[in-house]
Formats: sequence, C-alpha cells, structure tokens
Amino acid sequence: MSSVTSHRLRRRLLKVGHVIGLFIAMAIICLPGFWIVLSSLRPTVEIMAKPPVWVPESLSLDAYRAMFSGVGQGGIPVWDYFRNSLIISITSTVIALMIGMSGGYAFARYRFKGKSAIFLGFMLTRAVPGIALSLPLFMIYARTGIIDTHFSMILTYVALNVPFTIWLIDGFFRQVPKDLAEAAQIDGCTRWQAFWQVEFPLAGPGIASAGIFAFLTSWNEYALASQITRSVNSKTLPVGLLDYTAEFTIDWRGMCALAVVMIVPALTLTFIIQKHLVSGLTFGAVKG
Amino acid sequence: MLRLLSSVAAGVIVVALSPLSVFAAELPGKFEGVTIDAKLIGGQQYEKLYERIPEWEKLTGAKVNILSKKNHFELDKEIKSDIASGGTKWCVGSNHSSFAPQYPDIYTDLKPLIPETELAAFVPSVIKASTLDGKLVMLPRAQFDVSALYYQKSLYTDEAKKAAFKEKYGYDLTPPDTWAQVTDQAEFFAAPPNFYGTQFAGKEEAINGRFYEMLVAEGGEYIDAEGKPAFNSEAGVRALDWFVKLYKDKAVPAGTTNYLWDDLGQGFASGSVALNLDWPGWATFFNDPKSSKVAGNVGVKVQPAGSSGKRTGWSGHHGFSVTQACANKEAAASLVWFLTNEDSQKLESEAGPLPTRSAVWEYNINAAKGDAYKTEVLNAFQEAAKNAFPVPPLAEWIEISNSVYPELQAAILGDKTSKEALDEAAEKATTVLQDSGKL
Amino acid sequence: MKNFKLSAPTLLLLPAIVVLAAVIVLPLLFSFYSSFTPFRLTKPDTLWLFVGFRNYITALTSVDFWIAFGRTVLLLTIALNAEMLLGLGLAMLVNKATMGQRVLRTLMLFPMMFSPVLVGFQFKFMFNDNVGFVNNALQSLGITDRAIPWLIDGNLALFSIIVAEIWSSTSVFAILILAGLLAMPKDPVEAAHVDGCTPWQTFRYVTWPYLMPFAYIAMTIRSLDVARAYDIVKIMTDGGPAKRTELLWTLIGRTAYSDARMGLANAMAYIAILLSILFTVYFFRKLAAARQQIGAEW
Repeated sequence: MSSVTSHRLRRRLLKVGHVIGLFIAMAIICLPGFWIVLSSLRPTVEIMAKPPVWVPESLSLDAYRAMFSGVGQGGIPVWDYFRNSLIISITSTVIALMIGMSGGYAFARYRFKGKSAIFLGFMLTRAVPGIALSLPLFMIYARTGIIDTHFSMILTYVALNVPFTIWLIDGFFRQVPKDLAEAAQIDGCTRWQAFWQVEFPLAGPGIASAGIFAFLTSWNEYALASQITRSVNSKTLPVGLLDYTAEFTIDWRGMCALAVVMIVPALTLTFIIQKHLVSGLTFGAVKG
Repeated sequence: MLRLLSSVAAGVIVVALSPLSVFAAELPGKFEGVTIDAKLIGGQQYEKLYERIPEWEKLTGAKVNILSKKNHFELDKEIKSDIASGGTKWCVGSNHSSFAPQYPDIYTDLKPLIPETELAAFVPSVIKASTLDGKLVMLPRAQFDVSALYYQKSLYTDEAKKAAFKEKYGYDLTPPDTWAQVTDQAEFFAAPPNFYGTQFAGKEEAINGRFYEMLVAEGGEYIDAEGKPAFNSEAGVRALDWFVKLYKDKAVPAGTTNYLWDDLGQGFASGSVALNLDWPGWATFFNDPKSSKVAGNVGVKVQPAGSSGKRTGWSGHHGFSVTQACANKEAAASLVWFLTNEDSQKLESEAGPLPTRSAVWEYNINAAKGDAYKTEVLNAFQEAAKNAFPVPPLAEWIEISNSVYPELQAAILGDKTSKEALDEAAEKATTVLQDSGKL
Repeated sequence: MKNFKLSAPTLLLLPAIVVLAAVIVLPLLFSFYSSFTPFRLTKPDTLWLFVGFRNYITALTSVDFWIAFGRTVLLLTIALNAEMLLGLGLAMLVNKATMGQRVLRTLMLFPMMFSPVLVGFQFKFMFNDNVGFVNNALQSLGITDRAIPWLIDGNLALFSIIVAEIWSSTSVFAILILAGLLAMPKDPVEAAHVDGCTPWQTFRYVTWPYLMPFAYIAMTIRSLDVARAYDIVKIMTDGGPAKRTELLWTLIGRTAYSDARMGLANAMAYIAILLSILFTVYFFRKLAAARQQIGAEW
C-alpha cells in the first residue's frame, strides 16, 4: 500500500520536476529573444538607462516605422534584403537537400571503394575556417563576374550545407531497414519507386531536420555574405543588420527591430517544418 | 607594334587632357551617358547627402551606380579585397584619413581635376591632411572629427561639491582645462558602480589614437624624424600612466578597455559618467531627451591640455576619392566636388558633424544664433579644431595600432608596467615597419 | 557504351563533389598557395613572391599564436561538452513533454534563428559592466554592489563568451538528439521497463547507445562549424582586452584583413585546420564505433 503511494508520489514529483525543468530551460532560451523584442519597442534612453528601468515606461513601434520608411528617415531597404534572404536561403536549402539525399543514399546503401575517405573528405571541407575561404572565393567570383548575385550566394550556401545534409540524411537512411526497400522491389517497384515510396517517407524526420539546419545556416550566415554581397542586389538580412552600425554608433533599437523581422519568418518556417519530424515514425511497428 | 602602342597611348593622353581645360572652368560639367560606380559609407546620417546624388545626375546627365554602402571598417575590408583581385575599376570611394595611407596607389591625385579656387575654400589643414606624398587623395566632406570635452553641467553648480572639492584639491571646481585636472575631478566624482568620473575608448585603433594624442599633449612623438617608433619615451610613460591611474583608481568603468565609441556615447547618455572626451557627432544625441538622460545638462568645452601645454587633438575626417583606374575621372571628380560643395556641407553639418569648408563654419555659427547649446558646441569644436592633428601618414598605421593596443591594454589592466608595455609595443611596431621595408 | 556508364554511387555523389570542388577546394588551393607568399592585400604583387615556409615558421614560433591555439582548444572542449550535455537534457525534456510538443520543439530551436552577429551584440550589451542587463539584475537583486567586469577579467570574459556560444549552439545538439530519440524504436525501452530497469539504467544501456551516433554527428558538425563562434567573439571582445580572450579565429581575422597580411593569416589558418582535422577524425572514429555498437553496417 505504502509502496504504491510512494511510487505515485515519486511519479508526481518527477512530473513536477520535469515541468519545472522544462520551464527553466525554455525561459533561458527565450529570455534574450524577449529582451530583443522589448529593446526594439523601447526608446534607447530606456534601454541603456542607469539605474536600470525594469518596467518599460513607453513602448512604441517607432523603430519599425522608421525601418520601413524612406531612405533618409531611418529607412533601410528591408524588402530587398528580405527578398534576397528568402530566395537565397530557400533555393540553397532545397538544392542542398537534393544533393544531400542523393549523397546520403549513396553512403547508406552502397559499398564502394574509398567510402570512408570520401566521407571524411566531405566532412573536412567544413573544417576550413571562413578566413581561408572568403578571400579566394571572392577573387574567383569577382573574376567570373558573379559577385553580388543571388547565384553566387546560393552556390556558396549549397556548398556550405551539403556536407552535413549528407551526414544527417545518411544517418537516417541507415536507420531505415534495408529489407523494406528490397521487399518493395520484390513486389515490383523499381529502385526509384522504392526509394520514393518507402525509404524517403521513413527518412522524413532526418530530411526535415537537415532542412531546418540548412535553412537556418543560410538565413543567418554573415562572414561569407559580408564578403560576397555588395549592394541591394544580393545583400541578405544578417549583412543588413550592420546597416545599423555607423562609424561611431550602433542603433541598437533599430537593430533589434530588424532582428525581429528576421526571426519571425525563421520561426514560422521552423514551426511548419518541424511537424515532419514526427511524421512517419512508425519505426517500432515496422521493425516488429 | 611598339610604335602603334605608343601612338595609342598618346591618343589616350590627348583625349584625357582635352576636356580638362574645359572642365576646370565649369562645375559640375556635362557627362551625358557616363555611369559612375561608387562605394559609399553607409549609415543613417549619411543618407541625406546621398539624396543629392539625383540632383547631380540631372545637372550632368551622368548616372551614379552605388555598388556598396558600408561603414569604413567593412569598406576597408572590401577595398582591400578589390585591390587584391585587381578590381578597382569603380570610380568614387568613400575614404577616411586613418585608412587612406594604406592604399596610396589606387586613388588618383585630385589637384588637376578640381579648380584651385575650390580647393582654397576648404580649411587648409584638412586639405593638408588629405594630401599624401604630394597627392590630394580625397576631397573632405563635412565630417571632420576632433574630440572635445562633454560634461554634466549640474556637477559644477552643486555648492556642496564645490566646497568639498576645493578643500581636497585646493583649487576651484570648474570644467577642467588640463588632463591633470580631469584626473582629479574624475576621481572626485566617481562613485562606482553607479557613477564614474570619466571613460575612454579601450580597444583597437581607438585606444591607440587616444594614447597618441595624449602622447603629443605630453610633448612626445609617436614616430620620430627617422621614422622609428618613439612612443616608449618618458612622455609616453606619462601619457599611458594617465589611463592606468584612472583605471586603477576605479574612476572609469571597469569595462572601459572593451569599449568602443558606441559604448562610450551610450554611457555618457545614460547619465552615469561625469566627463567624456568625445566626437562632435554626439552633440545632438546627448542633448536629445529621447536618446539621452543628460539632455539639457550637457556642457561642451575645448579638450584639455597635457603637461607640455599642448592640447590633445587626434583628428580624422571623411572624404571622397577617385580611383586611378576610373575610366572617367572628370565625371567622378565632379561628383566628388558636388558631394563636398558648400550646399552639401551645409546640409550635412546641419545635423551635427563639422564642416571642412571655411564658409560653412561661418554659416553654421550664424545659423546657431539664439540656440545656446548649439552655439556652445560650435564654439567648443571650433577651438578644438584649431588644435587638431592627424595620425602619422603611414600605410602601416592600422597594423601598428593592432600590435600596440594589446600592450596598452595590458598596462591599463595592470598586467605590465607602462614602461614594459611601451617597450614591448615599440618593439612590435618596429618589426611591423621592418617587415614592410620602411626601416 | 557500357564503359561510359558510371556506377550508381559515383553518380549519386557527383553533384556533391562538383559543388564542393568548385566552392571549397578550388579557393583552398589558392589560399594554400598564398600561405607560402608574403601576400598583402594592399600589395597584390606580393602574391608572386615565394617565401617557402617563412609564414609557417613565423606563426609556429609566435607565442601569441600558441596561446591563442591553446585557448581555442580549451574553449572548444568546454563549450562542446557543455552543449552536448545541455542539448541532451533539453532533447529529453522536450521529448517527454506530453503537451505542446510542436511549440516546445520550435522554441527549442529559437537560438538558431539568431544570426551570430546579433548574438554577439546581444551578449556584449548584456555583459556590459555599466549599463548591462546582467550587472543591473545582480545589483537590483542585491547580490552584488560591484560592477563586475564581465568582458574584462580574463576568466570571466572567456566564461561570458562560452555562455554566449552555448546559448546559441545548444539547439544544434538538442535537435539532432531529439531527431535520434524520435527515430528510436520503442520496443527496447519498453522491454527494459518490463525487465525492471531503473530509468537511469534504461537510459544508459538502451537509449544512449542509440543516440550516440547522433550525438557524435552533432559533435563533428559543431567542432567544424567554428566560424559561427568567430562572429560572436569578434563582436564581444575581439580577443581583448590585452589578448586575454584571443582565439585563433580573431587572431587570424585581424591578421588577414586589418593588417592585410593574408599570406601569414592563411598559414595560421592551415595550422588551425589541423586542429579541426584532429577533432573531426576523433569524433568520426567515435561515430563509426557507436554505429557498430548498434549494429549498423559500415
């Protein structure tokens, strides 16, 4: 009797502990974001106040209004940056995923010579510090005349994302039992059909998480973008953040406002994609 | 073949020269169908000036294609990358007096392209600072930077404070005129962690620049007549000790060695700093209740003097340059002239920055009549500008800065004595100069 | 005709190889070459001077370089391990939640939506000694009456940087591990339950081996993806003050662009790559071992 209640108590305690832990973790994660949203709504004099002003005294959308207003009144070409970022991130993510799927499939399903070496080689392309890469890349792009274009940015981000989309997707394909596809082939599917109808849906969560990764990396990348983009033709949002730094000053409020504009679509897109993480996860059943 | 080439070359020279004489007579000139590629400094405060570009396009028939807009640090990186890849075919670039000596070859001499009367209208010392090896590499815009001392007025009207200060230091509490007085007053006002006496930029080129001007005010020199680093002199130690003492006595915020200009400006605007040596661009910001807690309480005074009697006055300015590789230098020079002419400078200096044309100075002072704060600011900065001096025109200046500033920081933080730090810094600076073949 | 047909894996890998060769390998060859020249950005002609190993010798004999090297290893070790543990914890917490999974999962990824540039500025302001959030909070709560010099004191500054780095990158581990948790078969856990294993035993002997490959993939990605931290450190302290937080990345970045000594910077970068290779190969081996353990074929 008492052991049952103590067991129940323990479970309840565990549950409360879990909720509290979750709450604290989420608070730590969200606090800086909340602070940024707040900073974008408060006048600078309050943000940088000493002694601190904890409860906002005046909130306004001035920073946002200024951002979208014309040049000279505090406006920056947000729409251009936004369009560039969106085109570049989405295109490069899609391409990186396709290349990643084909590469990951090759690693997971075939045996071939030098497999480990090639795999490691792919990984090591990520080991290159941006510094060693940015200047030569710039010189090559400048020579071929694709500097400051969407194409050059997409190409760069595809290369940046391909290694880990391959590893991730490889990892997930590996977890899909081989016999499933073989069974499908026996049932008269081609290998291609077997892939799309059996293996692809099962590897769905892996592909989704690789997609989130690739998208967010492209969406936020700064070091290479600052070298390759030059004007509104291809300048992305992270580079646009620097529009709020002038020679001597930082318009922190404006920067926060742009940050919010940057984060909201990323958040929305992540929210949409993440549900695929769950889909098709009938692993246990399949294996049984 | 050779003869053909030379005759072609001669033809090019004739073509290049012929419009010149016409050009000098009338600005802005006519450049139908010409497109000028430009790299401009980015930032809100500069947009007003760029709104004038369409006017120039209308007047001349040329087009301006803005390739990039970035702050000077980013622009510097971009221009260096361009030089490395041989792509400096764009025509007009924003330039800064501290960065300009790094790329002496890419910019053309503007003297033959701009009428003499126009050049004479600029403040002579600024033209001098824009001239490298006899080449006028940029035309200064209305962005002349020299620092003056901002202070909180109320501190100097508080009778109790005045009496206490007099008792302790033996002289009246008035806005300081020497750096020794700044030390006294900063230590007197400081009440960490809520209030600090003063602050200084603590890293990168900023601390090196502040040290440089203090060194000059103490009677020392950074680079001697032979081109050798000479800042590890007695004057150098005195100069560095000024920073060290304030830091040790906690009269400055503990984080000051990580501060750059924005931190300093925000710090003074937050009302937690008594005295602040800072740039003219902040004048409006500090007195605007929307951005500053000390609005209405800001005093501005000419920068204090060091023990040699000389005032500090590290200065820099922005300008526009025309590249050597530009296909149509006349049109480019016309644009540069237009962006720095009287109307442009009036427009720009309205918002606060200091003009580089004498006539615009007078115009601004007249326009500020009746506005006590603006008048005080202009008077202070006019005085400040008289004491201004640029950094040594060395291509290696930034590189020297980068090797010197960690040593300055080490002394300020107490890791090394001032002498040790400066000796080490001088050694590193010497290596930099040797590496580039200067010594 | 048949001779021309490429094998399936080659065909499948071809796009990846082409892209990587064009965007990574080609530029790398160039920068590798330039590490043997006194290449200065402002003097393009210097690219054609060959100085052999001089840049490497300069870098390898420089005390500053080795200090920065050591500090980078320290930072990576602390940050990666902390991120790993926190990411694991976060993933388990989220996975256990019965309600609001979608929202939680999205929130979990929240820090990844912050551009590193932004993270840098944000934490720099938060750790500002005078008007920063952290000191203001501590002072308001009466925990301290001092202005703690977060970004000045060597250890505190490194700590602050690590906090910023962990905050921004833990999500990477969390999502990968969570994906692993989701892909994990349910039977073994249930079987362990039935067999009367404690939660810890279940985790240690059933769940963890399944998660290991994912954890190592995350480790590998993160140990390579160092550029992300560069932006953060650059903005927060830029290696200062007095080189107290100098890392390889800030040192190389400053040498390359500010000092314009690209040749030397590239030499340093190549030595730094060795570091990355070491980390990568180490984790890669672990990865292979972990895979073997759960019976995946390699």
